[in-house]
Amino acid sequence: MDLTFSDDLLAFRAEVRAWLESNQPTGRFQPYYTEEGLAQHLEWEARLFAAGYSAPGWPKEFGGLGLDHWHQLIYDEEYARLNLPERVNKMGLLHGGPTVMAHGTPAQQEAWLPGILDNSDIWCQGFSEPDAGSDLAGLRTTGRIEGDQLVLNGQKTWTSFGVIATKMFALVRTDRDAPKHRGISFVILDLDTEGVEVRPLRQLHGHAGFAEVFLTEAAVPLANVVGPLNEGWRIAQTSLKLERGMGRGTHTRMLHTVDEIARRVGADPDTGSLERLGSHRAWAFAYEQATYELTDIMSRGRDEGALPSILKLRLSEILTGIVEEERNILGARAEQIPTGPPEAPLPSTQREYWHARAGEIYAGTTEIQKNIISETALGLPREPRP
Amino acid sequence: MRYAFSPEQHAFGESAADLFAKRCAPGAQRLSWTDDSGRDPALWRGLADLGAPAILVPDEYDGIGGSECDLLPVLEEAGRQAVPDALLEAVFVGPFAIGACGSEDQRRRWLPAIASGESRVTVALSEGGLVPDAHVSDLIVLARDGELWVHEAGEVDLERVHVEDPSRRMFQVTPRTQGELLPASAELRDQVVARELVGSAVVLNGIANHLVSATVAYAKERQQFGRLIGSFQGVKHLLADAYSKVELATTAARAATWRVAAADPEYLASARLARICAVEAEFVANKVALQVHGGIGFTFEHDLQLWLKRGKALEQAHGGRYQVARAAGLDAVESAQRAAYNEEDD
Repeated sequence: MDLTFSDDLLAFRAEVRAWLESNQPTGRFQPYYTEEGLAQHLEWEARLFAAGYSAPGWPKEFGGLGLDHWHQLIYDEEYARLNLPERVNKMGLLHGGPTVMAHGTPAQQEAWLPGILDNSDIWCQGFSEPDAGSDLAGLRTTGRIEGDQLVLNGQKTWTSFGVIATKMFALVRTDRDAPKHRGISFVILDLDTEGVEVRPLRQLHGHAGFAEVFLTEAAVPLANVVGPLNEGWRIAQTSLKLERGMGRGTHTRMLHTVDEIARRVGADPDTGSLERLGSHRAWAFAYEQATYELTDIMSRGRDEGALPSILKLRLSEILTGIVEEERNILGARAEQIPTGPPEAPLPSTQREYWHARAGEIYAGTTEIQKNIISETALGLPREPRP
Repeated sequence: MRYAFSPEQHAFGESAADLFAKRCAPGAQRLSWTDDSGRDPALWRGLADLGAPAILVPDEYDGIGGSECDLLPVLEEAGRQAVPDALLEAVFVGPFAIGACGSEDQRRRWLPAIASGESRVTVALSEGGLVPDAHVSDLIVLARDGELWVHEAGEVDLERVHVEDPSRRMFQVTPRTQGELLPASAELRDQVVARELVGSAVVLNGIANHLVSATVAYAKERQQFGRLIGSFQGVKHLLADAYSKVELATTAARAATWRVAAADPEYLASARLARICAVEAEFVANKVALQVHGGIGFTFEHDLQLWLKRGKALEQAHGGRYQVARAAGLDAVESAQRAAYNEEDD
């Protein structure tokens, strides 16, 4: 065992911290789905790109910093420590881009990756459908081959960043006769293609970050399929795995929220329970250390097993526990918000509360993670898979 | 950074596991329940031969001068196999307390015999608390008036106090003499407390690990409604939940042990946090284990009770569940205030 950060990592932390602190935007941005907010976010992204900080994890050959797992963790911690704006192109940076790097042709990489890096393209993920949530492989959007084109019909939903995206990486059914995991392809489509309609979908905390995307005879080049036709499920595992293991700065934000609760309890000990605060602090510490352990395993190229699912399951439960505690401390004030229309975005305390609740659903629900853990790590009988 | 044990640490744990399997398997433990001593001298000799009590004794007193992390695999294994002996006290907290807090004269008199296993030590850090394994110990470290005192076996009266777990041997210790004061600063006494917290977390994680794995094994055998009970989501999800908590608690305890060994500024707070996770994870594993075993697990004949009862005892021992959580809450308030102060400083 050796749990110290190397001098090299400490130096990198100082460098990133210095740059972020002196270049960070002042004040909070408007939501990215407003015109003003999008401009603010893109300006910040441009600043990151110009300094080479846009894609810390991408290999240098694709324009990234080529950082290893530990350096990326440090970067993410420093980014989270300053509570900097959400990365509006994270679906491209963390999911779509890496999937194209892993499975795309050189021509596809050349065509798409630079646009993610300089934000001339914003990407979104087209996986979930109204009838395909947890049972993602039950998706019904179809891709019909016509000459050198794939003609898409169907509906994607709960699409984060869909309202500002220009490209989507989607799973579509290209062989209706194959078993359900086998007849799926992974395809990139331009959202300005004829037959694509994007409708904003407001979330329950007032944030208009979702979209539903309707596809009606939308024709995309067959050359936009990533990996072999009908092998999209396997290709998508790259993206899903990245989604589960992601959020390397999450522990930093979590500890920050615990600090906020601790300050309230410290200011007025009658508002909360020291015992419960101690427990929340303990699990935040455990989650931080488990994040480090996963980073350690990945950086050695060892099999991480069910650890990403374990982290995802625990993360969402620890976080909901913490934000519930915050509500308990606020008591009757927890529900109070400023005057405004009913659909207006909630202020930060309530927004963070509801956002944490979403964490038990997205990127594989709590129940799906428990299935994965019990079947892979514990070797219990698998769920029936028709 | 590296979370995995070194090959040497791993091998040390394996040797201890073999010894425990030979000396204190559930059958042997049951035989010891009606035996007043309840302790197997061969187990202690075996541990001494492995060098376990010498790890935290410095070289110059005939010890090994190792790290707390070296003993992690042994303590985890002691929990996993429900070793009845108070090993946490005998190989971890006790040798450290005397080495760190003793005067030069005290160290020279006691440590070489502790390192060789000739002299066994036990500890109670809560004032007036029961002392485990006092009947087989040569030195007893007690907290009194905020200080640590050492009593030799001949200078105390022992009264056995019966407890739920028939493997444990707990005693009310009444010193007949004042004993010898360990001339330690408050800071050094904190280091002793931190070792007790983190060590008990490690043992609890071992217990919880066994509770989950034994229950998973049972869920793969037991059939109801014509299918394995482990195929029901109601059972799978209970086990996944317990397992994931135990995994995180195990990582937390390893990290905290590292900080304690390295005298990190946050070592005491980290030890408390690790202990809280271990207690809460074991609590869930304990509940799930009995629930999934059902009626058979509630019989006196079934060995599950060894881990169920040991776990419940250790949830409250070594500082108490609420007391530790409360202290950690105060740590969190202080650290948040420090963080706020630093932000203003920036």
